[in-house]
Amino acid sequence: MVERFVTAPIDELAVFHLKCLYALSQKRYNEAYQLQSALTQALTKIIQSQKEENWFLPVMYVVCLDLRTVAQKAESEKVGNTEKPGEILEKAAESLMGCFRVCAADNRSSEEDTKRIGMLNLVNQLFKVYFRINKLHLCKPLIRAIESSPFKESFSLSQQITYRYYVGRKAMFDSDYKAADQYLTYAFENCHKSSKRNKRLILIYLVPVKMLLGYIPKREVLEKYDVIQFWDLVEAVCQGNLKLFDELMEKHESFFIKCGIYLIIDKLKIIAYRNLFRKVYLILDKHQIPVEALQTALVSLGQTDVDLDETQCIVANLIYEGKIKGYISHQHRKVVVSKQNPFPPLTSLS
Amino acid sequence: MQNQTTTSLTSGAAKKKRKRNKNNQNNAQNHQQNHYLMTAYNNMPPLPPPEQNDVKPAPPPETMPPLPPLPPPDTTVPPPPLPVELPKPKPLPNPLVNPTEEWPDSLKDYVNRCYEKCKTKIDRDQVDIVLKGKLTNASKTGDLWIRDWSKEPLPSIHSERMTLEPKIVPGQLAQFQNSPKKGLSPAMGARLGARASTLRGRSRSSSRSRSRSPAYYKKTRSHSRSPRRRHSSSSSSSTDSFIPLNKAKPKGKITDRLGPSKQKVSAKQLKKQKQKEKKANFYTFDAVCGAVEENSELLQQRAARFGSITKPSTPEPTVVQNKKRKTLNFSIDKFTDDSPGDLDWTEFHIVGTCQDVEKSFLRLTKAPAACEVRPVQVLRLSLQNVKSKWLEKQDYFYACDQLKSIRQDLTVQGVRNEFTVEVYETHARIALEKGDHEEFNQCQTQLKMLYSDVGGDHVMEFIAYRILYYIFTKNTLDIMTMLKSLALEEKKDPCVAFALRLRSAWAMGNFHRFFKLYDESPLMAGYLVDWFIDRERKAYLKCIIKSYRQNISVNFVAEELAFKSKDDCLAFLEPFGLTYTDDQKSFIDCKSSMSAIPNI
Repeated sequence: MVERFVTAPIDELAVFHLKCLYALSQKRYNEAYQLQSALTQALTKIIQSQKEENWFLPVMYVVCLDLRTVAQKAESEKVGNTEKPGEILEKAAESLMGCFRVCAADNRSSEEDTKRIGMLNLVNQLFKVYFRINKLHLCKPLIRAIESSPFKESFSLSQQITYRYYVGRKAMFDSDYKAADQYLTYAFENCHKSSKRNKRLILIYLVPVKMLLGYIPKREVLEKYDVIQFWDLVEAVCQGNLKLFDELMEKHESFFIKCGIYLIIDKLKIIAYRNLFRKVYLILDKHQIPVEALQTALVSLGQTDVDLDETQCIVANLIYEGKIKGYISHQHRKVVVSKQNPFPPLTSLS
Repeated sequence: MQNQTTTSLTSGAAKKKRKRNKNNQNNAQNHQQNHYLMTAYNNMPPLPPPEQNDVKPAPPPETMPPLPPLPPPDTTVPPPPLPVELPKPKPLPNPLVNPTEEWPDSLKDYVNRCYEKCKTKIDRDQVDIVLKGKLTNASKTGDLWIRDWSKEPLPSIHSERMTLEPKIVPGQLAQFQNSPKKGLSPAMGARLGARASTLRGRSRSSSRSRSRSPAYYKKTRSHSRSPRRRHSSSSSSSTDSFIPLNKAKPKGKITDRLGPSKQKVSAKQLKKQKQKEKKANFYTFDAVCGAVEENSELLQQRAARFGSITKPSTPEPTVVQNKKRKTLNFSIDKFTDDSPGDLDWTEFHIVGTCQDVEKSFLRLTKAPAACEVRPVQVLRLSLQNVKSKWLEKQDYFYACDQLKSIRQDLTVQGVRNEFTVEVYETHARIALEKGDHEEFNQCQTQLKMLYSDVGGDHVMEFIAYRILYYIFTKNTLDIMTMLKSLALEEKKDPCVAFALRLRSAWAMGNFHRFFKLYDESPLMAGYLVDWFIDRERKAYLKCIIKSYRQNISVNFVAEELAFKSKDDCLAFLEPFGLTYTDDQKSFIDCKSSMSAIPNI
């Protein structure tokens, strides 16, 4: 049938595509995945054979996108747990890598015709798979390939935003908050204003990162993008209200965990400590602060099991990180803070 | 027995096929394949998987006689000596070749002489190759009937230590020559090395009196263990000494699944030299196909070894062989079509017959025989034995070796039940105590799967260890994944809750709480924290030196870093070159010690 309308080798693509659609309509997702996978293989061969031309790239984008979504579907519909989770997605990633290699290796063609321009789209598909199966370490070579690409700036903006979103998230997981801030900020600022959902997704990661670096988001922004859950948190951190902080952590735990930001939010507690101690300092209005005073503040905010030594330890860590300028005298059980700028703004810390 | 024989016959046939296949590849290289031949090929029964994916197996040209030259039953010549196998030359009923076409007697005789010369497996493989080359050539040139085979020089063989014919594919030969050694010596060496270091480690750490009571193995959760006691610098050194034990181990997916096993001489099998080759005979040939399915040369070779297991006597009627071969081919097809992952190993599991309570571990390169695998009831005794020996002597090398061998026997037999869980738990705990990261990890990986398959009473304990392990590797991503997977109730489990609290203190830089928790570690969690305790101590020490003025008492530091005495603490501080205010080293001068921070 198909042969009459489409010529080889594209007929193969059409056949696989139709078969895949049929399998999908029958809800046989695994079979659909197999067919889509075969389609991707066939496509890889075609793009490999096409020299000096890249008009086929849009087809590749669609095929690869389909492959990922079908793989996700097949993965979620997998019956029983006989197979390892993520197995189908991993195989899909391999197929995507095949396309990626073809594109990345195309360095003979002229700039207008090079298939390397298709790399970023594939990288983003791969990111989506890798984040899903928790294989972030596999992202590293992809990032390197993109960063060293001469077309770094000529990729389409939408792809660049997606790319930065994932690289930013990865940096966040790697505790590289500066880089995370940079990437996520780019993504947020360049994301089209009508793409509210995407902007919200970016904010979920950008807000905690920014807060950790000492930037507090405006309430309006959080409201606008429907992430108002963060507002209470912002208040708790700013006020040094550890009690509220703990409550919020418990309340939103599943949300934070689901988004993968639980650990970074957890770290905001350090900022809350700093703000609380600053308040104690301001109230006492002297440079020698008894450790007892700090401990009392902690206990009053629900940290009932904290003793003097632990209070000292928390302070010591803040001093070590540069969040407090001063020193502890263990003999006198006093924290002596600097006369100048004892609590430097967090944004000034490198 | 009957079953075995037929099985091996099949294997023999398969081997032939494979060889012919190999031969065909040669042909393919030599001359252009024409379409006619390809069609002929399509009519043939499917061939075993090709040695290399990219080389298309080509059929033998029709002019070629059936390759393995002699009909089996009527052989008047004595069967080939040592390496027990079917009398080598055996025609495969091939529909394509004229069956009446016979080989000259001189050639038959020549082939037989060649095989008679063989002493080892390697020899046979060599002769196979050489003969194949000669015959193919001869048949091609039409020389087959003309040449005086009685005058043909016999091929050189490995045992004679002569140089090989240039026709032979060198890579293949090299492999044949090396493979038997590969399985053994490096592993042996590693083992011996490990033993030496184990002994050293043990003698040094023997001063750490074992506070663990035998009661532990009765699963007493509330045994008393004082973590501080265990602390001395010897802890880390003995830990280090175990690492080489694992480094030398070869890794392979299939071998892992099959599990390694010891090469053991059984009474039934008499031929010493060939023990290894013959051992594989328990698996049905389907198993061999399974092994072959990966198509790697090594696996091919392993499969080839499976073929050499028949008793020399009873040659089976060709009919049976033929039939067998068909099923065989079918299964090969199935396997090549399927992706490797779909292979269900459970079909091939065996049940052991070995009755030894103690058995040393040896990584296998092929399937083990039933007689060297212990059934579960014996393994239960073995585990008991290992446990009591461990409590008695604390010989980690022995325990690890025995446990690995038990694990292997379980894997080979496909036993996955609560006993398997117990074995892995026991090994994980012992490895944990001894700081054997790799074994511990292996056990944890297995346990994760076992718990999801068969469950167990200590799931929470090992989840807690896993969390702690992620702290050790600073793998925040995996911690995150773990948090996602934990249900609220699981988080309330005392052991898991401990791990989570420790994680929180660790992430927060709340060292004081971290070390306090460390002192209260439940079960064996303290041992795992030991893996990274010094790292955290250093971090806290840096923090203390930077934030305290003018000086800080060593007693305070010792307390904060969870040392049991000032002396232990001083020993820890020793290499950093800190400045003290007095000769007794009771106070650290923090300001002057700032310069020493890079040393920490």
